Amino acid sequence: MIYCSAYRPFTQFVYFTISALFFFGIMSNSTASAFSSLDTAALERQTELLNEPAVTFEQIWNETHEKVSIGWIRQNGYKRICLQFPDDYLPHSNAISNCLKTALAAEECKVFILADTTYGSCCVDEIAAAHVESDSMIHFGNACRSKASRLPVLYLYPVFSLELPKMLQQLTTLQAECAEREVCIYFDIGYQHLYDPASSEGEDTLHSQLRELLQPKKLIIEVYPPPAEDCVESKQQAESASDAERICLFVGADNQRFANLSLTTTAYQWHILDGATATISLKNPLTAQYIRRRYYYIEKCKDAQTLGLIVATLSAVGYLDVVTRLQTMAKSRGIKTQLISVGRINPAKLANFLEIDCFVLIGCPFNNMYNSKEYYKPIVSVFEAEMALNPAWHMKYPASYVTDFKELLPKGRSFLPFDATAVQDQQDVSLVSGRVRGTQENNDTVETATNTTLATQAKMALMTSDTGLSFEDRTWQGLDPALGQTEPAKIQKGLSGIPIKYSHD
Amino acid sequence: MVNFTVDEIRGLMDKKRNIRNMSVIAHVDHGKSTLTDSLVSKAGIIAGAKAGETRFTDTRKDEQERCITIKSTAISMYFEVEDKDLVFITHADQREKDCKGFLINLIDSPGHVDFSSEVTAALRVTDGALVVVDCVSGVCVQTETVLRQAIAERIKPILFMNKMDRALLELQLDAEELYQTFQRIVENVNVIIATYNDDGGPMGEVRVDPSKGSVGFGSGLHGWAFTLKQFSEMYSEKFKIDVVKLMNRLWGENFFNAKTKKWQKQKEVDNKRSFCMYILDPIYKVFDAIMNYKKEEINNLLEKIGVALKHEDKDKDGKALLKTVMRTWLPAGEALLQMIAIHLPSPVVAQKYRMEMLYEGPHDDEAAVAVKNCDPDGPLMMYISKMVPTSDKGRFYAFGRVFSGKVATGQKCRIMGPNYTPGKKEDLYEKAIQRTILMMGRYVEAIEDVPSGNICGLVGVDQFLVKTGTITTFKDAHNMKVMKFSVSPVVRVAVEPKNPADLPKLVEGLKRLAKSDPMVQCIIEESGEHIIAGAGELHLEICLKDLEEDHACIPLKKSDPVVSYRETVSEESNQMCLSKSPNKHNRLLMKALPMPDGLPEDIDNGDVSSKDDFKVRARYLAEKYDYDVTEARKIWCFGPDGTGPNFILDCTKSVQYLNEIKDSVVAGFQWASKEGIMADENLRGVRFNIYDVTLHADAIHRGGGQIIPTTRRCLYAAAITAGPRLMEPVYLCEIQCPEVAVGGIYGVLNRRRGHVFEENQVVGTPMFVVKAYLPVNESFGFTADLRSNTGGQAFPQCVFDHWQVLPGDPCEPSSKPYQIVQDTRKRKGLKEGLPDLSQYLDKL
Repeated sequence: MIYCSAYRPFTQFVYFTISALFFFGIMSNSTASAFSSLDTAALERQTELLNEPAVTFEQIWNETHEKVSIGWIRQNGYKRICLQFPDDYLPHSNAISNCLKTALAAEECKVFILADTTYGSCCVDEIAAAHVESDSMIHFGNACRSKASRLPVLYLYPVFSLELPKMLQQLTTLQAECAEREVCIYFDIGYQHLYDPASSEGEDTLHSQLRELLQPKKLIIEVYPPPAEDCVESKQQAESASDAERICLFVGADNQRFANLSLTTTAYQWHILDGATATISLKNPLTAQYIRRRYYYIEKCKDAQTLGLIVATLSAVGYLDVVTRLQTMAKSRGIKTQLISVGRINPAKLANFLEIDCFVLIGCPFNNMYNSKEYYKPIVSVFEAEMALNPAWHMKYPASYVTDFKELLPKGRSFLPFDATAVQDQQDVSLVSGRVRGTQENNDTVETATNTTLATQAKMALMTSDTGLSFEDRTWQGLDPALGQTEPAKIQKGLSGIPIKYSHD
Repeated sequence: MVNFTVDEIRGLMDKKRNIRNMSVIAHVDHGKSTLTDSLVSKAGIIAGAKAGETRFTDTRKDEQERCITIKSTAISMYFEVEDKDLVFITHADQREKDCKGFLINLIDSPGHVDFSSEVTAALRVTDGALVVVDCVSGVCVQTETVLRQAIAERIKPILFMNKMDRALLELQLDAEELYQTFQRIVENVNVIIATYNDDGGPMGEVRVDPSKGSVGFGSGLHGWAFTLKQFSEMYSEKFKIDVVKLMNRLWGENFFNAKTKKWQKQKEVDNKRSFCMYILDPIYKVFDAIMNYKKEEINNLLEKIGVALKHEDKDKDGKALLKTVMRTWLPAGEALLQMIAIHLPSPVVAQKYRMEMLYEGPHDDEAAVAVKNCDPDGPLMMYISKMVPTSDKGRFYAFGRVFSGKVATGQKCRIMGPNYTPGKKEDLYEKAIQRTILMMGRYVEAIEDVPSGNICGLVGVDQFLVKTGTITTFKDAHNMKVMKFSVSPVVRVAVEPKNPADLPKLVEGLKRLAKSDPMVQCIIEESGEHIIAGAGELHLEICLKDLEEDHACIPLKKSDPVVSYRETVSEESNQMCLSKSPNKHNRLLMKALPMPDGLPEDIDNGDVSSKDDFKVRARYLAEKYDYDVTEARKIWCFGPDGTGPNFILDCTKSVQYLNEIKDSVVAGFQWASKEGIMADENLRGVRFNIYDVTLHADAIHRGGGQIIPTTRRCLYAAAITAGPRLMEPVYLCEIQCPEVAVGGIYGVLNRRRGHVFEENQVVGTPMFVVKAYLPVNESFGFTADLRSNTGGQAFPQCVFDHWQVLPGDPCEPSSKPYQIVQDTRKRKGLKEGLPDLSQYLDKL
């Protein structure tokens, strides 16, 4: 039996929708009913295309993959195995699951396909797996390696071919630049087979070849995301000695992972060696321009009267701590917060929250950048919210971005303590609206502190419209019952059915 | 040296009838700051000999270097008026009994049009204005602009003809010619006053009249001045005529026949105009004698006019001697003081008729009554008109006028910003005033408290206000009206720090800059650009310099100046635009069409606004613009920001649940009108009609999430199908030059897409005034270009006038607007190319 929570055109499967909040259960398929729309609707539905090229079956499932996974299952004696695929791998999912089923026929294993992960396919969807009571998970494709707490997970990366000599030849152009500098080479998923960390000190390895070629002061080779569990950024802190002078090379494509890595790592220069075409290009995403653009959203976040904290992570440890921290910081500035969980976010869902001025997305490190202009109100990352709300960040320029919110918590690399009293002294002007940004909170505290007789009076005068300020501005505030003022109406036949399809439609 | 103490000033502050709050306004280079020096020196703050050169009120280094006033500067001065002059003050509320001392709070303002926001801020806190006119160049553009503003704020003007020394020494005008020049200037000024003031209005007659003594003549540079009163006093004994009567005789068509000793009303062969005979002739004689080194005659004349030279002045000759003699004979400070004390209103008088212009709230509430009576015992009402930088970086004195009550150090007040609305908490703070201070030009003096009718500075308020605000102790007080500027910030530059890590410092600096100037706008745009918007190139230049040197203190990279554009439409949408909500259950049908000419301006000016009663507004629109009354009543909102020059109109017929989605549609409209479809710029002059709406029967499926994005898409589709156009800002440009240079002006204007619509000779001078419209985008470097093409003889004054449609279709790849749209999109990091209609338009 195959379960697939599909948004994508795979109607031949029996499907159901999983979200963090709702679980509708299993439904029958094919024809339109009161509870579902037509199949054709699903087929015609447009999905956002990722900019990564389509993968071939051979790239994601070869003999090594098969050997590794079967070995892993057999060794641990798992019986119910989930395969989690990103959307663009789905065409091959059936073949892979069949392949596994055949190989494991003797063990009577059950294999499930998971797709359409709620927030991003990089995270391990433990909740979906729990629905089928699985005991293990094989995760395909892009992974953020956020700590999975409930399930053993095997990560399988695709394998892209890249000819080493070609790559080395390309790299000669960087020779002059790299000489006498620290060089760091990152391998994207798909190219990690080129580099075997165990043999780094050997004679004729990649390491020594590169060292010979580039003549750097120091050569570091890393795979990205790092195989270490839990912390994506942990590796870099150890060697952040001469960051600003470092040359970094990313073997892969210009994708989300590159963006993520290059934003969080300071370097003198970034190069991408595109695996598909074996060409090298210069790219510097952490430009002043990028940060200046994000500063606009940070200003917006400071302006907000109400912040929406969107929890968009499945399993990441510490998200509750982040929520509490953000709530404390917001409160000290008199900003109201609302905690939201809406599953995968889209403009329509967020526009329902009219009163919220800015959203903070608490997601996994790979999945928290939203730049789309389609959103009615801006969405900032936890790091940006921290910059906006924590006075310790005032006048501080971020050397690099922090995408993993755990780094902002105590013991994290970019943790700055929050001092609520410092907020009191900060009165400033918004550069977006041109207004004074005031906090009602400290307005009141000052009053009570100094002069009690005047304070009580003043407080009374000010307190009148404290709650739901923006709700008051709405013209429609719900039905007016006007009890006893209107004639009772005669009973008429109303609509029947459910909203998606009334019987009279 | 200073001949008064702070205590004396504090004492006078309570004598509210003896206070004069005044500003000095004029065209650029007509000699405001120089003239102000005469008063400053009379108060003993600077030495008399230095008056006219010091320009004491030009406090900034660059003001001194460039010889141009940039910021308005306030100074409080104490004077005593002699008993014989006090009798001229007849109005009971114009002086306290038994008090000779007068407190003059003077604000010297800049004359350059780019800084006219400073003038606006100065006018707000004063009751009278000394209008200075260079008698050689006459009434200029800026004279008219500032005078118009003054009248609109109900500020009473008096006139001063400056630079008489030039008229005599350089132009060598003869007496009659000079009289005619004066006469013409007085007339011109009175025409302007009559245009904007109604004599029957609350201010009464405000015309200036030399024979009443409200017009002064003289030279600020040389430090001498007079009114007819001075001369009348000299002659009244001799003629045995009352001073006031004689003053009437000394101006206008009054001729004296020396032979028959008779006054006549017509010019005849052997009579002479009294003004020339009794006033100009003696001055001419002094000039002639001294400048031509006629030693004997000099002594003779000095005796006649009663000037005894001091020992150290005896060796002087030529201009130096002339200066000394004139200054001793006709001291400018004295003449000005008398003009100010006699003719400008005291706060008691002025606030009676100014209150209704100043106060937003009901005109009979406690605050209004106290303001009207200038009551020092009423609730405090103070208007902060600008922020003045302190020596402490990043902190400001809040500068303003106490209209009623008393403001004191340590007093707890309500600080209300311009967005405060009574009953709400927004933009409202309750804080204690840290200190009250007296502004003394370059210095400040601490003062315990300041009663109503005075101008002062406050410490500790700057954190809660951006530029302006109201300070009160009355908890039900409304705001004082915000100031309306005559210029708009249409020129913009983007700045970025040379070292990216200095970004936080830049942001901090921008915030300070935003405070320090009444007009400048500092904005972060969504594109990540940090924009400074100002009134003109000079304004921006000063702002950038201040930002770099004083506020941010970091090296900056500046972009070339750019203008912001507006998006509009040229015709009605060529199809009904339908957009479906993401769940496909809601449909909106809309069209866009351009507003009739003049309506966007009416909205800008507040003649049509969201605050009007909908019936009144509908009637206005129906009468003036032929709108259908029933439709015009159903304007849902203005945008962007709820007040902008676009609106969305409900033309639907009986749609169920329509009120429920109004908020969502309004939100979508605000969004779409702020970020237009073509280049993400504000919309202007677009009317959207909603023709039909289909909504899902269930509230949850027609919530904001479904409606807001759909409204935006539908509005975009409507705009794309209605012939989108770009609008650019256009300057009204006035250029003064001699006739020979006019040809050069035309050449330069033609090259820059400007067009001349008026060309006049200034009567009585060889000067021409050319008026033209010039796109702001083409105005960069215009001044320099003009000067080089006219041999430095032409001097332009540009002020934003209107928005004008840029010819050409922005959807046509060969057109100029297309290029602008693409450049803007690129700068903002948007997808290049044209918006795709199919993304916004749905099929049924």
